[in-house]
Amino acid sequence: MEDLLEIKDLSIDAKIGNSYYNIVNNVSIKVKKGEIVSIVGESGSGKTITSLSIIRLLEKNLSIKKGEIIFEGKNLTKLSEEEIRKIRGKEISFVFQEPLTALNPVIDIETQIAEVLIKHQISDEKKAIEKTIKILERVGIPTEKSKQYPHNFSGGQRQRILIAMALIANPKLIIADEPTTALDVITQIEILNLLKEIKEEKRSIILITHNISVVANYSDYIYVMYLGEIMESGKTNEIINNPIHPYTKLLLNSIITLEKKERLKTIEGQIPSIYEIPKGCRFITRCPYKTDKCTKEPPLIKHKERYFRCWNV
Amino acid sequence: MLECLEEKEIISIKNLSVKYNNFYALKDINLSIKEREVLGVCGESGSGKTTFCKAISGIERYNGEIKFLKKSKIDFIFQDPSSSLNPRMKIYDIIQEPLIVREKIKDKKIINEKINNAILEVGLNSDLLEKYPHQLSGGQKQRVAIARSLVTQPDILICDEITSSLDISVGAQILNLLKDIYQKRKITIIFVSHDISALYYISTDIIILYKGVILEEGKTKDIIKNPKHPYTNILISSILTTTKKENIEIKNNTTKSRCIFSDKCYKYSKDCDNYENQLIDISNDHKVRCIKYEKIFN
Amino acid sequence: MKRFLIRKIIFLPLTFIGITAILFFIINTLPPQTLASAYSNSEKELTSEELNTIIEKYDLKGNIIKRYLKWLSKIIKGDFGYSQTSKMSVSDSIKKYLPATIELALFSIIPIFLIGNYLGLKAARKKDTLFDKITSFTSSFLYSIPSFIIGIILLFLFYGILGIFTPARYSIETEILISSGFFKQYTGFMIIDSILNLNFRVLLDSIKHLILPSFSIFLGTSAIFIKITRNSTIEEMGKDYVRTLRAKGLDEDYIFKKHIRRNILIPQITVGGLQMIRLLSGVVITEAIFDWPGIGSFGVKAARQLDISGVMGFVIVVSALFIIGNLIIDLLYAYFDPRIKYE
Repeated sequence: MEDLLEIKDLSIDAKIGNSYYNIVNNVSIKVKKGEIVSIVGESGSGKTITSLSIIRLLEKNLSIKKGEIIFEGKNLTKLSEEEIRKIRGKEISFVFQEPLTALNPVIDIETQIAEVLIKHQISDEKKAIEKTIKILERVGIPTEKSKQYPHNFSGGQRQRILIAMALIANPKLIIADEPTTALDVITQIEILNLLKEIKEEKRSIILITHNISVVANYSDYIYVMYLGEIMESGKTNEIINNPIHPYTKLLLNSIITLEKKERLKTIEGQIPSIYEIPKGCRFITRCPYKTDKCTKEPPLIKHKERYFRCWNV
Repeated sequence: MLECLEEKEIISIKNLSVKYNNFYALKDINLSIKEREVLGVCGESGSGKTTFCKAISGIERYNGEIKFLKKSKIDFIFQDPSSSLNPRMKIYDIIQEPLIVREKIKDKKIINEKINNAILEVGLNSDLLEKYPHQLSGGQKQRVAIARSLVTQPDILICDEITSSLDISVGAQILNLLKDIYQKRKITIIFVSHDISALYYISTDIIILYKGVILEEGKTKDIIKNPKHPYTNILISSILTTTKKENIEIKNNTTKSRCIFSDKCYKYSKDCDNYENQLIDISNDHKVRCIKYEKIFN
Repeated sequence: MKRFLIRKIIFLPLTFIGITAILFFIINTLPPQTLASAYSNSEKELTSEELNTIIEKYDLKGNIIKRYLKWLSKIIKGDFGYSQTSKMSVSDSIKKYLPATIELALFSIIPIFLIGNYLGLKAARKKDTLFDKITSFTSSFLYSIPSFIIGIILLFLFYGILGIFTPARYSIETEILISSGFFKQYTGFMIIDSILNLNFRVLLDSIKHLILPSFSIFLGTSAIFIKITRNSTIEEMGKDYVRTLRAKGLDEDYIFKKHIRRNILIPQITVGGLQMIRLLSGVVITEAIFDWPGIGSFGVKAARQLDISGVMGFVIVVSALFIIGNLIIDLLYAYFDPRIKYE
């Protein structure tokens, strides 16, 4: 099946002061129609920045150094500002991480949802309100509350409002950045089930998270990112049950499962900042299996349906 | 999984309830916390877990009785290390503060020694002492918060969601640290988290809080391996296993039941409407507030 | 919300009593004789008999609480006493001078809001460009120049050299019309009165006289409003919800006009409101330079001539304006920010 979205060898640099620092390096991601793809990694791994670059919402000091982002055959990196604005919210939508602050506090939620349709000239005002009510019903928000303000809703409800805003224009791809962090388990399950329903409508979702256990039941494909690079990728059950890359193995090890009894095996140290990116394999500072070979950057190796970046496998 | 072998009670809680204006943040809480127990309090936002911690620490007004059967020093560690550490103070001063203010120690040598020991115990380097909080990572800041608590040798440590704002891998390090501290000192811990897997790893006993009420309580082994309440089952389903899980359904029932979970419960039926919402004894220490408990475990 | 209003309205008289009490007690720290000489018309030193007459007449001795309550009951009825400075009752003086100040204040605050808002928003969107730097520098520079210098320079330029504008509130012709009874001052506000009198010449004349002083005020004080607009806008631009708006595909103009603008209203109302209140209490220096017959110049004259009733009247009026102004600001907050619920 043809890919809906393909990110090819994307590299992004940040300009801080007078120097350039590499944030994302040679990242390639493929998303098929009706697929849920997860990007998993610790904070600072570059997963949010990679996905923001798809719709070109990067901060002013970040720039795409090289690479292409192909969406339905079009190269998004080559589009004008006006053309990419037409895609945002309509073909590709983004659900941000902090439901508390992601909504305008002084405007009611009905207006905030309806304006997507109105500004993209999909519906007139009356029709837009009708569709807004319908979508609020779908995501489980009591429709009597549609004229209320964000602070009148709980965290879980606000997350649903964000999802409603992302769904209303029938996008082909939805990018959800940590959609379930800070939500309780029941709401988490409800929201993930909602995402699954969306997938069933043949829409694609990119799920970004630092918590691999959340996506184990909900994604088809996983990309594991560390310090701006893809360390490993493959089908979900293969990654979970048969991880290849040391980082993936350690990540899975640090998760508590019912089978675990003794001490949790954690990853030594912490993720380096962008000012301290090591030479060679980026995981070298924390990898328990490192060898002399690792001072040279390992290439991305393909093995059956999977990719990984390590010398010692 | 830890087990508590002590029998001496240290905190006795009887009929604890906390009411705000027109709703109960906590209701009907009866607990006997033993010395050297690690009590895991599993609850989500709105469950009353923070109110519970505040009531025990004495900073919240409550009805009922909380008795300490021994003179105990209590210390509190919060969820967000960025807001619990004073950004204008160096790490050394942050850890020093309770020694000067609470313990009233004046001897500089003793203070120095205690601080250095505390820093080592939490696995940090002493050259961090001269830094400011914003120069530290989330995990390091949380370790500083722990050091600050440990330095006064508390008897009871209350940890309120201390790993929730950290990445999984960093949180795991903190859990390991807490386990080490527990095994080294004679300390009672109340560990609050919405993440039941963390409680599985670190607690000896667990209570499940939902909207201010205890739905299930017991030894960790019983609760995790043999859960009786549907809500507990949902929480456990979020723990990663290598086998593929059934998708849990979250219902939207209209009920007349007194059971506080009935509107979301997948096991709800008409019999629940007659349920008086009392705590039922399953075995010693294992209690559940549900009449459907027979048919839970797969 | 209703409860909040009721509570505030109940507090109004209490605050008022507090202010008047403090005022009264401060004035009465002066001995009765000193107060008496302030009340007299004559230049020469008064005999003790004459002093006693005055003390009797104006009730300047005796139990202070009783006197305060007596005085307060007069104030409430609107009797502020007699003003030496203007040679009429204080309440008449207030009726004469206050509208002039209010009219000037309103005429000045409108360009401050409109132009200040425009400049501030533009400076924020063009942050760090030449436009931003020039606007910032110019407004700060003008703000730091003492207001009388701006006033004098403007007067010198437009009156002295170019002869386009003249000081005072209206021309001599209008003055004659008023004193001869052909122009009725219904409200004391020249613009409204000239419309009511259907006299468009006077209308134009009044507006012409308002332009220079209000421009002087605008130049000297708009910097704060421009700065708060600019800085609040920059703060909003970095907020998360703006990122969401961009992700929805909305264009920058729309984001500013519909969304950001509503979020900067609270700081704007605070700063603009306080500025308005300050203008209402009479920009004394501007009034002095442009010979504007406002409450500010009245207050200063009264103080200089130890016109005690005049000064007290002035303080009470200005305090009342301040209290009411703050109440209005609070109400505006609640109207514009749905998160604020006064319970």
